[in-house]
Amino acid sequence: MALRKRENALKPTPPLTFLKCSECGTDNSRPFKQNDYVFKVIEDEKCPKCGSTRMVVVNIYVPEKKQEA
Amino acid sequence: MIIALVWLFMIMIFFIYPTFGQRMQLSYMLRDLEKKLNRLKLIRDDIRQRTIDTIKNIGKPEQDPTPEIDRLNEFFLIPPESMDPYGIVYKLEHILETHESVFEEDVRKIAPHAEEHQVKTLTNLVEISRGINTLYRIVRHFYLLGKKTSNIYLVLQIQMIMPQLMEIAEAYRQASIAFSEGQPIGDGVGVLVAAKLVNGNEKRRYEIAKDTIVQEIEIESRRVLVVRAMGPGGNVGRPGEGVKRLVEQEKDNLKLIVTIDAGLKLEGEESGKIVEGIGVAIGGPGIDKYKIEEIAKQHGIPLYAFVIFESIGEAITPMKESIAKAADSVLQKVRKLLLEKVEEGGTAIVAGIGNTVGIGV
Repeated sequence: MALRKRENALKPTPPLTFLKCSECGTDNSRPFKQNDYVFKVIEDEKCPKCGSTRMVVVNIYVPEKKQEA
Repeated sequence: MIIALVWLFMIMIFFIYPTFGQRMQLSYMLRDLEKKLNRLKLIRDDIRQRTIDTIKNIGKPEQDPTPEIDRLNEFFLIPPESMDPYGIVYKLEHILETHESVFEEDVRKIAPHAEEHQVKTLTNLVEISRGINTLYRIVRHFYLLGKKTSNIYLVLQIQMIMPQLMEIAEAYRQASIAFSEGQPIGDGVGVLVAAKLVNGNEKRRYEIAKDTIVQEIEIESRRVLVVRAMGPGGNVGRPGEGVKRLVEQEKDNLKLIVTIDAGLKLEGEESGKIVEGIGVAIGGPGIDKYKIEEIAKQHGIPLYAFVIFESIGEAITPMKESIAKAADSVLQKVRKLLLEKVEEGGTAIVAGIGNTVGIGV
């Protein structure tokens, strides 16, 4: 219980999956889903720009907050 | 009256503190250690439960895998005798390879429905569970021994390194989340560079050693042989053996060997900072490093290395933006180096080192 409470406070930020449309080259991102991996070809999601259903995972990482100068 | 009481109090402190001061200090230290040990136990139990749940979800075993996971959590490896160091690298290699295949086979048995790459990732997850279990047992050993013998110096030593140990334990917890979901980790940045270098330009691919592949590409009339572990399962492959076999195969055509790996940063340094130098950038027990150094020396091939800095925690937790973006910068540096150091028609080896979890081919 104690760990769960602390875990929520320290919960790691989930990574984002960055996709590139194979048709129009548009980049977009969404939260990481299980079984995603870099260079995986995804055929069941639509490109937000051209509607193509073929996209490639180009990166997966945890975004960092930009530090103010 | 009050002055007399103050004097009495001062005299008591004067006699009591030297006699009981160390005991009081010891009891404070033991209480602090006990709190941290309890937290360590909670982290250990949490990772163990996550491992069991993941194996049940992915591997769909017919029987409860808990007793088998508890057995693997205590599984050990005895390093070879070093009294006579002759041939120790190959003895160590033999023991590590046997250990790896036995461990993997056991995980495969308790997760019969897992695909091959998932077995690799599950093996890593069980290794994390075993790692935190070992850490907990060692800390508990020193706590109990210190308590039993009332040895303040024994307790002091473990208490002094507890902040670092707790940081490692927290990193283990986050690593267990990453491996249970198959997310790329910081240690995989070397492989990520190799994957990006090859992306879309692969001419030929073949397995050179267990779980290790070679991808052949061409960069402005230079032949580049990219060595890396097979992904997207959690796997480090055998880059040392892979490079050794490639050099034996290519002989004197090779002009350069480049290794790319994640390296531990010093406090105060930025994560994702790229440094370059000479030598073989490979961590671990040293077998891969030894093999590459040995074969490069035999054939007189220069060794060049790129290291991407990160903390121990970042190396085993989901990859951060600064580290992932460093991969793109390293990629440019590697291309520039190849063009500078390898003449047209020449061949070079680029080895991307690290864990391939979440990084495909």
